[in-house]
Amino acid sequence: MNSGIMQDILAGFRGQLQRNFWGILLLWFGLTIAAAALSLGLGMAQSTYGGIIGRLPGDLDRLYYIKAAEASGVSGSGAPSAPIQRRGVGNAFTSAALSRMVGEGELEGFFFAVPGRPFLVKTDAGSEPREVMAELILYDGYVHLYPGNTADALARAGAEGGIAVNWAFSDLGGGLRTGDVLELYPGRALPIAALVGRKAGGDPRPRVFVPLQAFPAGGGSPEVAVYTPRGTSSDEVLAMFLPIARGVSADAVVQVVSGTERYASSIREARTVSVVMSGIAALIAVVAYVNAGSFASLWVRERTRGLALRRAVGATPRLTAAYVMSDLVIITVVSLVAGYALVWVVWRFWLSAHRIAAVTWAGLAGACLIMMAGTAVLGTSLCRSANRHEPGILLRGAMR
Amino acid sequence: MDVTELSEAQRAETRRDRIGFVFQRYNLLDELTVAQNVALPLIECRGWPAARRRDAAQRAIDRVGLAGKERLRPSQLSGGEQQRVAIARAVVGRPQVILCDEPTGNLDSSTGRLVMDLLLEVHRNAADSVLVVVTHNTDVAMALDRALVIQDGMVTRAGAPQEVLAR
Repeated sequence: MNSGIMQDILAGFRGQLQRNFWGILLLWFGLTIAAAALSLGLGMAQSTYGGIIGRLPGDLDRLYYIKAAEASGVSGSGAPSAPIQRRGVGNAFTSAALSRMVGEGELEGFFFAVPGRPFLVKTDAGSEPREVMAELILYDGYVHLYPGNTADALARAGAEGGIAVNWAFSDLGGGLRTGDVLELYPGRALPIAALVGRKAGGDPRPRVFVPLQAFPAGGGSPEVAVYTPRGTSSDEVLAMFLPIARGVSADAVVQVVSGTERYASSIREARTVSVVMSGIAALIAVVAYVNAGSFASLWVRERTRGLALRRAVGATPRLTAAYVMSDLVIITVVSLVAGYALVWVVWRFWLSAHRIAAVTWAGLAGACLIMMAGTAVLGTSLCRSANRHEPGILLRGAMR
Repeated sequence: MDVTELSEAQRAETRRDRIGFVFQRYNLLDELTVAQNVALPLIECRGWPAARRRDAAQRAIDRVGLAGKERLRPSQLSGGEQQRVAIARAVVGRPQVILCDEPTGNLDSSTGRLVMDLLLEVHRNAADSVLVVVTHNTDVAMALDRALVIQDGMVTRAGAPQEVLAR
């Protein structure tokens, strides 16, 4: 396409803009709403789904939650009820035993939570330490607690001899940053080496992630989450942990719940929400495109004279199609940009305040793809109608 | 050449390469300048570079006496000037046939005479070209070499304009 054609396309577009500003504004507005609805709908669908599925991408089949309890406190299979814990059972799975299993390759990793407790934090060398509350997560080996690169971040924190905190702790706990120092227990202060989790849509409980080697005090928990090597079954996991629990208490029972079971209802719910959100977004896009189609046909009809004249002086059907498609692409691109700006405003001033993670790259890209596909379909039909009639007839019709 | 057997793309190329059109109502695009309107048939032309297209348009503009008005919009010109731009656009690609549909129909008689003189002069300067004018104006018809009278789609008379129109 030479510079003359580009110049002519832009001049034609400018002329159309001058002739029918309000019509074009309406067309843009409709497509902007479609772009925003698609971006938000797809983004919300993805983040809702990703909030559950993405939390453990591909790992649900090797994640197991294992709970030791008194025989009398367990209500059969499925999720365990609140167990009646005795001192021994309360520490059934000691960190030392679990760590040994990681070392021997029986587990890829594990973690368990220690309920909320106070920590002393120093944000710089000269400041007075202050006390904050957070849940402690002890871990070893491969641990994927949050979406994204959390496993890598935790591994890095461990390698650097530091700890990690989640966004809730860094934000709600007073703007902690990497490099700040946190006193885990008297005399044991460790730097924050990584911030993990995502701000919107994440778990709002403040948490500190401590690699086991940085926490030599030992300890244990009646409930642990373990990552097994691929292909390990529930029965094998049960056979692995029952002897450990029975070593603490002869009548202890062990319940094994796989990640897939534990998140089954959430996955179903997330899938439903994703389908509904995508459906609503698609519906809005279809309605917007039907309206856009009417406006765009009007647009082409109004450009008939210009197109007919160009055809009369020799524009080929390909060039006519290029004119129509260029118009539509310009409108679509401007609508996408405006739609994205609208999405950003909605997210920045409303959704983010409610911690709704609705803006995702996939949502934006999906909206862009759908809009461009819609434009291609619409443009093809408009190109046909623009080339259907003889230019002479169109000129007479347009002029008189 | 039987144009009815040509594809749409071939017909477009024929219109572009062999025919120049002058319409009764000028049919200029107001979003384009005079120079851009004149250069319109050259846009898709034979791989010409921009400079060559500009030069050809400028020569056509000079020929119709509109030098200095290249950057104006059609709406800034008089009716006669607009028809001159249309003539420049029709001849810019050096077509074999110049088709004029009532080229003076929208102009007052004196401007119409000037436009017709210009058309004839342009035609004389373009070797091997044919000027075809559709008109109801006998003065315009008398200025041409040959006249055909068409009634209900059929040629009823043909010959020198003086003879044909005298009958």
